[in-house]
Amino acid sequence: MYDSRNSLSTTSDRNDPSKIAPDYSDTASDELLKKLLQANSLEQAGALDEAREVYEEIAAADEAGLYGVSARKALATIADTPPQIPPSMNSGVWESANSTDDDGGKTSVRAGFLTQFPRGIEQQWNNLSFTNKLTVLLVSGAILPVAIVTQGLIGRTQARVEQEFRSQLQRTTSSWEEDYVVWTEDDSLTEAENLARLVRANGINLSDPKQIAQRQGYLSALVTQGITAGDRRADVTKSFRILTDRSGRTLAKGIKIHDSALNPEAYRQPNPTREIEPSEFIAIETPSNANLGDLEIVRQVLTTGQPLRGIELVSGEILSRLGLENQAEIPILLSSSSPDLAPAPIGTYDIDEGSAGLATVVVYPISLNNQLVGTAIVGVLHNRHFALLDTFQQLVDANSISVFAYDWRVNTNVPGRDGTRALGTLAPKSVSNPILDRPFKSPQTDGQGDREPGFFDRLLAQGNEELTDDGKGLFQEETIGNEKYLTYYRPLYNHQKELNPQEAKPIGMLSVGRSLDDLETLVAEQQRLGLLVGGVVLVGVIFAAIPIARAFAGSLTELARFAQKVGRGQTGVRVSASDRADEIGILARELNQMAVGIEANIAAVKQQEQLRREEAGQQRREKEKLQRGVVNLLLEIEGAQRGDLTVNAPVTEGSVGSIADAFNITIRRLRDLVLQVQTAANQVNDLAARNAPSMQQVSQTAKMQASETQETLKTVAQIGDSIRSVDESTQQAAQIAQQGAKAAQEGEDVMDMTVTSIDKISDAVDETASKVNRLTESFGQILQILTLISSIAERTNLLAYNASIEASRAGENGQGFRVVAEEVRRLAGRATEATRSIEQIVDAIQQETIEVQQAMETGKAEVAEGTELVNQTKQTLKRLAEITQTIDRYLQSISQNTTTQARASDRVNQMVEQVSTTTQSTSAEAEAVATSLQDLATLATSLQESVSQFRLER
Amino acid sequence: MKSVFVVEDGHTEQAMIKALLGQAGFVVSVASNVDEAWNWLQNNALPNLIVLDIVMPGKSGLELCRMIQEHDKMKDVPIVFCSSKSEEFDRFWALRQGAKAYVVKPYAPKELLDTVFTHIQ
Repeated sequence: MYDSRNSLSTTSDRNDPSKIAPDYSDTASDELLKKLLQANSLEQAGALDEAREVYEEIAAADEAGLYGVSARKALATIADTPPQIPPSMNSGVWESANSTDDDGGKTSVRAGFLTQFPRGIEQQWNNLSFTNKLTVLLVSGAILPVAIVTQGLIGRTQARVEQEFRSQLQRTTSSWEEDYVVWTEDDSLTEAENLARLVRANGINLSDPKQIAQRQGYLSALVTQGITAGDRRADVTKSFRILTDRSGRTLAKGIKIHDSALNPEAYRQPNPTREIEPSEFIAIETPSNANLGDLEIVRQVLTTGQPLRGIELVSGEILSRLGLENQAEIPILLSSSSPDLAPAPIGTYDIDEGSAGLATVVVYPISLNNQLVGTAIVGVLHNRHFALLDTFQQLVDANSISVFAYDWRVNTNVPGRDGTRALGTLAPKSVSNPILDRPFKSPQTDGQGDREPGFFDRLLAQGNEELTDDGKGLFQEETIGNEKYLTYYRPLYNHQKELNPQEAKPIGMLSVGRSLDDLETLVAEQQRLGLLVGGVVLVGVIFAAIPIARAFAGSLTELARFAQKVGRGQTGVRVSASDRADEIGILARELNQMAVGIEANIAAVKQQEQLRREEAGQQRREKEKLQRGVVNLLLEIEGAQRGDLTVNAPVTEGSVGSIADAFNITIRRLRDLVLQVQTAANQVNDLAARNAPSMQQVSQTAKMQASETQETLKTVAQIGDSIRSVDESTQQAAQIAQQGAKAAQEGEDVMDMTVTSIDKISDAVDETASKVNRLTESFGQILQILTLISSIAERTNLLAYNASIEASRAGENGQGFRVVAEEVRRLAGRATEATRSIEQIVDAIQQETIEVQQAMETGKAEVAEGTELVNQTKQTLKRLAEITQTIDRYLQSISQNTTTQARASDRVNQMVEQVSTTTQSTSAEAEAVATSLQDLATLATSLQESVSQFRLER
Repeated sequence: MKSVFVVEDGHTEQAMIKALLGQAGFVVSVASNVDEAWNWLQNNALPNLIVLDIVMPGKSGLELCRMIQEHDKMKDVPIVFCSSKSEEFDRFWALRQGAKAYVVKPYAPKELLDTVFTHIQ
C-alpha cells in the first residue's frame, strides 16, 4: 500500500525542512519557480509594481505553462486600473444618436404632411432615384415655360400666319385688280386709241354719212378683226369694239360673246390652263345705228372730247342694243347662310333686276381736224365671261375670284351650292354697305391706302377678324356655296373716278377669297411646327436635365455609395468631396467623421464578437465535454442497475467528477449495507441450520416427555388402584383381623407388598421428577435459543430498515432491493413475534412445570410419608399380629390413611394429567418453534439470494 | 513551526506549492496519491492543514477527505481543496465533504497562501 518511491520527497522534506526548492532538474522551470517565489514575496511585501513586473516576465516567458498561467492569475488579482474606451468615441456615438433622434422627429412630422398625398404616389416618388427625381423636377420645371413659350409662339405664329394670309390675300387682290381691271382698261384703251388713230389716219369722218357709207366695209373690218399685232388676247377678249358718230350712234360694231357665257356647262369648273381661242367666240350681229349716246361715259366723252375709261354698269336695255343681253342676264340668287351675312335688300342697288352688265368700257374720241367726229368704244362685258376670268386667275394665281356689279356677283370661279359657279349671289350687306359707299380718293390717298399694313394695322386687324377695313378693301369671312372663305373685297369705280374722284362712288366690287380650310391647314402646320419646336426644346431640356441631374445626384450617389460601403463594413474608405463648401461638402465631412466613428465602433463590435464567439466556442466545447463526461459516467455506473455495487466512477476534472464522487460514495454505502445484510442473513441461516437439530431434539424430547407422562399417569392410576386395593386389603385385613389373627401374617406380607409398591411409586415419582427437571433444562435451552433468535430478528429488522432507506435513496435502481429488504424486515418481525409467543408459552410451561415439580415434591414427600406409614403399619401389623386386639383400632386409622392416600393419589393423578396436558402443549409449541425456525431459515435463504444479486467484491 | 501536508499528483504543481508554502514558513510534506497519503497520515504526526487535489490517479481527493472525516483523530485537521475543477457545484460538493476551503487552479500564489493562513490551526 505504501509506495516508498512516491514518499521519497515526503521523507526528504521531513528530514530537511529547509529544502523547499523543486527537486526536478529542469533549470528553466527552476528559474521560473524562483521568479514566481520572488514575485510572490514582493506581492506579499506590498511591492505590487515590482511584483507585477516579475509576474509579467513569467507570463511572457511561460505563456502556456503552469507558472505563466499562475502569474497571469496573480496579475489579474493585483489591483489594476481597467483600460478605458477613449471618451471621444463615446461622445461621437452619442452625438450621432442624438442627431438621428432629431431627424426621426422631423421625418415623422414630414410624414404627417405627406399623408395628405396618396400613399402609392408618395411611395413611388420616394422610390425614385435622386437622378430621376431631379430630372423630373428639372423637366417639369422646364415643361411649363416651354409649354407657355411654345403656346405663345404658336399663338403668335398663328396670328402672323393669319395676318400673312390676310396680307397675301390683299396682295393677290391688288394684283388681280391690276391685272384684270387695269389691264382690261389699258388694253381696251390701247385698242380704242388704235381704232381712233386708224379712223383718223384714213380721214374718215364718222359724222359724214357719205363717207361712212363709202367706208362701211373698212370700218366693219376694223371693229371685227384684230387690230393690234400685240397681245393675242387683245384680239379675243374684248366683248365689243364699236365706232360711233358724234351723236353716239353706232357706225360699226364688232360684238362677240365667248362660248363660256352661253354654254356655262362647259366651263362649270375653272380650267386655268385653258387658252382662249378666237374660234370660241361667237359673233353677234345686231342692227346698226344703235344709239349709245345715253351711256354716261359716251355722253361725257362726246361732251368733253377727252377719252374716258372705267368699269361701267351698263343697263340691260343698252346691252340688248348690242346683243349682249344674253351674256349679261344673271338671275339674282338670294341664298344666305346666316343672318350676319345677309345681303342688302334687293333694290338697294340698281342692277336692272339682274339684266345689267358690268363692263370695262373705254371711249376714245375721234377727232378730225380738231373736230370731234365720233368715238371708238372698246370694252369687255364681265358678266359670265368665264374664260377671261379663268385666264387671269392663271396670271395672278388666285382662286375664288369674283366680280360684282354692286353687290351682285356677275363673274366668278367660286363654286356655288349646286356645283356651278356661284353667279347671281349677293355679297353680304356687311361688305357691300361700307365698300359701295366709299368714294374714290386721290391718288395720294390711294397710295397710302395701298401701303403694306404696318405693325399696328396688323395688331388692329387681329382685334377684328370678322371684318377688316384697310381703307380700301374689306375682309369678310363668309360661306359661298358650301365652303367657308375669307374674302377680300375692293371697290370698282366707273369713269367718274377720273372726272370727279372725290365724288366717284363704286359701282361694283371685286373680291378674292381663300378657303378658310387653307388657313386652318396653315395654322395647323404652324401649330405642328410650334409643337415640334417645343417638343425638340423639351427633348433638349430633358437631355440637358439628365446630365445635370446626374451631376447633382452624382455627389449624392457617391455619398450614398460611401454610406453603403461603410454600411457593409468596409473600412478605410473616405468621401473625396469633403473640400467642397456646399451642403454636400458639409455632408461629406460629417460622413467622413461618422465613418471614423463607425470604424471605431465596428472594431469594438468585432472585438466583442470575437470574444463572444470564443466564449460560445468555449461553452460549446465545455458542453460537449460535459456530455462526454455524463456519457462516460453513465457508462461507468451502468453496472449498478444490474446490481454491480463494485462500480467506481473515476473522479475526473470534468463537471461530472463531483457527481461521480457522490455516486461512488452512495454506492459504497449501499454496498456496505448490503454486505451487512448479507452477513446477517448468513448468520440467521447458519443459526437456523445449527439450531434445527437441537430444536428437533427439543421437540422429540417434548414428545417423549408426553408419552412418559402418559406412562406416569398410568402408573399413578395404578398407584390409585393399589391404594384402593390397600384400602380393600385393609378392609379385608380388618375383616381378617376381625376374623382372626391368622390373617396377621398375610397382612404382614401384604404390607411388604405394599412397601414394595410404594417404593415403586416413589421410584416412578422420582423418575418423573427427574424428567420434569430435564424438561426444565430443555426449556432453559429453548429460551436461550429464542433470545438469540429474537436478537437476530431484531438486528435483521434494523438492517432491513436501513437497507430499505438506502435503497430508497438509490432510487429506481434500489426498488427491487427495497422490496426484498421490506420482506426481510417483515419476516424478522414475524420471527420476533413467534419467538415472543414461544417464550410466553415456555414461560407458562416452566411455571407449570415448577408447579408439577412442587406437586411432585409434595407427592414424593407424601409417598415417603406413606412408605413410612406403611412401614409403621407393618410394624404395627407386626405388633397387631402380635396384638390382634389393637388391630381394629389401628385398622380404622389405616382405612383413614388409605382413603387419604387415595385422595392424594387422585390429586397426583390430576396433577400428572395436568403435566401431561402441559407436556403435550409444550410439544406442540416446540414443533411450532421448529417450524418457525424452518421458515426463518427459508427467509434467510431468500434474503441471501436477494443479496447475492449485488456484486460486492471485484 | 506549522506543517502542511500536500496531496497533489502533478509534479510541477507539487513543486510549486511546496516552494510557495515552504517560502511562507511551513513544514511541507507531500504525497502523490490517496493511498500514499493515507499511509503517511496513519504513520506520521498529524499536520496542521492538508492541501488536497481532487483528480488523481486511483482514489480521488474527495474520497481521502471522507476517509479523514471519518477518522476520529484526523477529522479535526482542516482540509483545503486545490483543484482545477472550477464549477460552482464542484466547490459545493468538495466543501460538503468536510473541507474548509476550495482553491481553483490555476491560482495566484497569494490566493493559496491567504487561504492556508486563514484555515491553518
